Amino acid sequence: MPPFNIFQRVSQAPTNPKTATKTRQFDVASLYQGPVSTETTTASEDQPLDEKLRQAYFWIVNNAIISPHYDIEYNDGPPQTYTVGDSKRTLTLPSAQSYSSFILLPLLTFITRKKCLFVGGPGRGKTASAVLMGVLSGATVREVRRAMQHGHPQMSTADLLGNPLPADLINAQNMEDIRISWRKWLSMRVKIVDEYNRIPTRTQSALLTVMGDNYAELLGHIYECPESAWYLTANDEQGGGTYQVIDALKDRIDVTVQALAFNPHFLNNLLLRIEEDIRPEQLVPREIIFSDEQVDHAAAAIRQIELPEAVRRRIEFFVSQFELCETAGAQFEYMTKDTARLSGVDWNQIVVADNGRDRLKDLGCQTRNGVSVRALISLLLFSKALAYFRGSSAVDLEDVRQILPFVLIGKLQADLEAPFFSLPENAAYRVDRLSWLRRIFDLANDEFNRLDLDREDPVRDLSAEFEKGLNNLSERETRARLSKIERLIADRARGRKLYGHLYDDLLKLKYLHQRYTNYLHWLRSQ
Amino acid sequence: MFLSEPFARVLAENRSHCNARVAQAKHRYPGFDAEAFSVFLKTSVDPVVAAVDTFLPKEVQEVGLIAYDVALELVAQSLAGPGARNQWLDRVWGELVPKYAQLVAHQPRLVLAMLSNAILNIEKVPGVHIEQWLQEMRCLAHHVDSVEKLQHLGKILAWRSGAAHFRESAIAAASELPSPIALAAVGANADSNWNAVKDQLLANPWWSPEKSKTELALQGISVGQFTGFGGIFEVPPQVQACEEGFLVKSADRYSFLMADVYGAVLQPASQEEFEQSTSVMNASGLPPPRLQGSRLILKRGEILLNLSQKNLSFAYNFHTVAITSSYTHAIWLFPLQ
Repeated sequence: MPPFNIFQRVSQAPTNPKTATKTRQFDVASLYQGPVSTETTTASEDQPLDEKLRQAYFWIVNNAIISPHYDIEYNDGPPQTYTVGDSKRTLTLPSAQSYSSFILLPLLTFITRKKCLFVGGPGRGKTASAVLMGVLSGATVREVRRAMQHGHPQMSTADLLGNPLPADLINAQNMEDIRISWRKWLSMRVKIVDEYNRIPTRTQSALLTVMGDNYAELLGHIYECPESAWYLTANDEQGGGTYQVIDALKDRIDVTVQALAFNPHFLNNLLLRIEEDIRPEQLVPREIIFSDEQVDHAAAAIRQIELPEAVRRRIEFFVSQFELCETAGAQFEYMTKDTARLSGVDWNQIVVADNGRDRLKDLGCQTRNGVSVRALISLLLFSKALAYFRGSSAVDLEDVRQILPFVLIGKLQADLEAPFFSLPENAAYRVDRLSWLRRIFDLANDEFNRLDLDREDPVRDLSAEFEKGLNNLSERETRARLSKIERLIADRARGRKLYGHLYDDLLKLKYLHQRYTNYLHWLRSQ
Repeated sequence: MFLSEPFARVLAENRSHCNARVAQAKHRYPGFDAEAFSVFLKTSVDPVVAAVDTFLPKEVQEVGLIAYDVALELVAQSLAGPGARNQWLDRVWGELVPKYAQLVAHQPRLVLAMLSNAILNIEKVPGVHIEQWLQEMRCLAHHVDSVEKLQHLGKILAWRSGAAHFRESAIAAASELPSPIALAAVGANADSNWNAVKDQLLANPWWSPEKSKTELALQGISVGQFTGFGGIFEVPPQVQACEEGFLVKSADRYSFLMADVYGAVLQPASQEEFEQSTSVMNASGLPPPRLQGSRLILKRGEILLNLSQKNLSFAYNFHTVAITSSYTHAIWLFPLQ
């Protein structure tokens, strides 16, 4: 092996440098550290895992992916923007370190051991990226490739999970005696399912059990899979293909990333790769390969990243916009889009009946459903993972803003008949759902600011008061709080249109009212 | 210009390997300039290989290939060769590395990397006298018979060339060397006592065994410049003293300033450090400095500042006084005694 490998070179400098605030200690050993590596300047094993993750990201961006697109934009000052074309689209030059979603999201999926779907046309590097993630887990390229599941119309449950041993099938006296030859991929820490939308529906159900519950079942035998990161690829984001992807399977996917087009300006790099027969997945440097323990530690650290209350409130406000469907229920709790969906009544009939609100202003009118709890969990976890990747100890609103579209795409379904999409300036959002999701998050934040909820939010205050606990709360104080809640509900209900966030406020107030009522009953029985 | 026979032989015997390395470099660095690499091989790598050949011919093969790889990395990153961002690497390889041929023969990668990285790091420090570092490294090469000594010497000479932030570590490194080398490295007379010299160096950052340096430093050191002229200050800086130096604020940029007899260096700092820094009381027993118009009054005498007397301000710590003005982006530093 040569003394050092140009292609496998990993950045020696911090990949997201920040000014040190610790006690100033100049070490002149740094005089001899630089672009030329020595035996003594190889990457340290005990370097922080977030730095290792960034090094992995930058190695992939600089070496493995030929034309990265920097679509996750961060700014630490006003960015340069340009208006381009007849459609007056904005080209932004971000003023801070920005990232390529096609690499970053799979990497965050790897470190959190979640599930990522690659979508995009054939030959855009979806499978290659998934293989790279497999190699990062320490498996060889050959192991990763052999363990990859290729969806096809004849794929059976046995193809996916394994086979009973033929001899046991004949000789066994009961089911327990039948041994199963489980497929190797079930034990992998990185699982890749290529073209999952070509798998028959029945086999998709078996896949759902493995993906959702992390075990495989065959002839009454159970195989417990290790926690692993999943990468699925599809040519169609909507789950179409040879077979329609079942909704439950789609809902198990945490993030969806799109493989963007190849920029022909990078053709020279492609040519060199062909001429030199270079395959990036075979050259992944040892320094950026993660052991199972390292992934566990990083995942634990990610869960410890703080999500400030101010950011959490904005997520709550955004999510509360979408579930309300006033015409779907007679009882307050059932006025949801899910009730409408379960009823099987035509969506357009329900929408026509809803004529009280400003359908252009109401964000809820832009979707056919609300945000699922599973999607919310993914949003929170990936926001934390992004903050961790960026070296922050707390999630920033911008982290949420950047992650949100990749989590909700394919899950929050746009109602293209909504007035919002008929405006000429919003026409592009009918097609570009990622930008639409980011746009509605921005609009929700604008509304949050307009209502000044950062400073004045009585529901938040009442919730905080309740969170302190009911121990030793007097009857008088309980009654005072109950009447405060009732007054607030009366105030909210007076002459206002019902919007999603107001609906959730009222339900929360009802919850608090019920808790205090129960407590009051108990108190009086003592 | 032709290659020396030993290096030409190494390249000929490893032709396919060397060509493959260049192909890889082309992939990793699309702007790789093969012509520049060729020139660097002839002008800078060849003298190294030729020098090693005179000391230890049997190591030429390994040294030649390692030097080739290191050179490839440097040229690929546009750090060496014609048109490179760094002007000094070619000279380090051509003039300095051959002086340490004996060390290169035994630990080629380590020595080549150390000296290459050192010059790249030194060049990044504004105000450092690189020519002086190169010259003294050449002159003292005959004292050095191990990589450890080379490391120590490089550090000490970097400090003496103006990298003031290396001061404490460089003095510690000098203590690791035999007295004659340590004295030579700090510029003291060969008949001096190292411990006495060391004590004086530690006691007063503005003292030097070289009288000319001390006298020059009394006239003051200027550091910092307007960003438009390549400096780091967008607006005239504000300075606060702390025990080890000064914390500096200019617009939204914060720096840490260290100064001694050999020079002054600005390092990145944070807003918190600037805001948390507390004024250092003069514990040296000297009367505090004063400003009278454009004159700085110190115990050792008066200094006429070449600055408008309007909006002058100063901060001082145990050894140094820093002068700033709203009419200049520079900071002037003077020894208190």
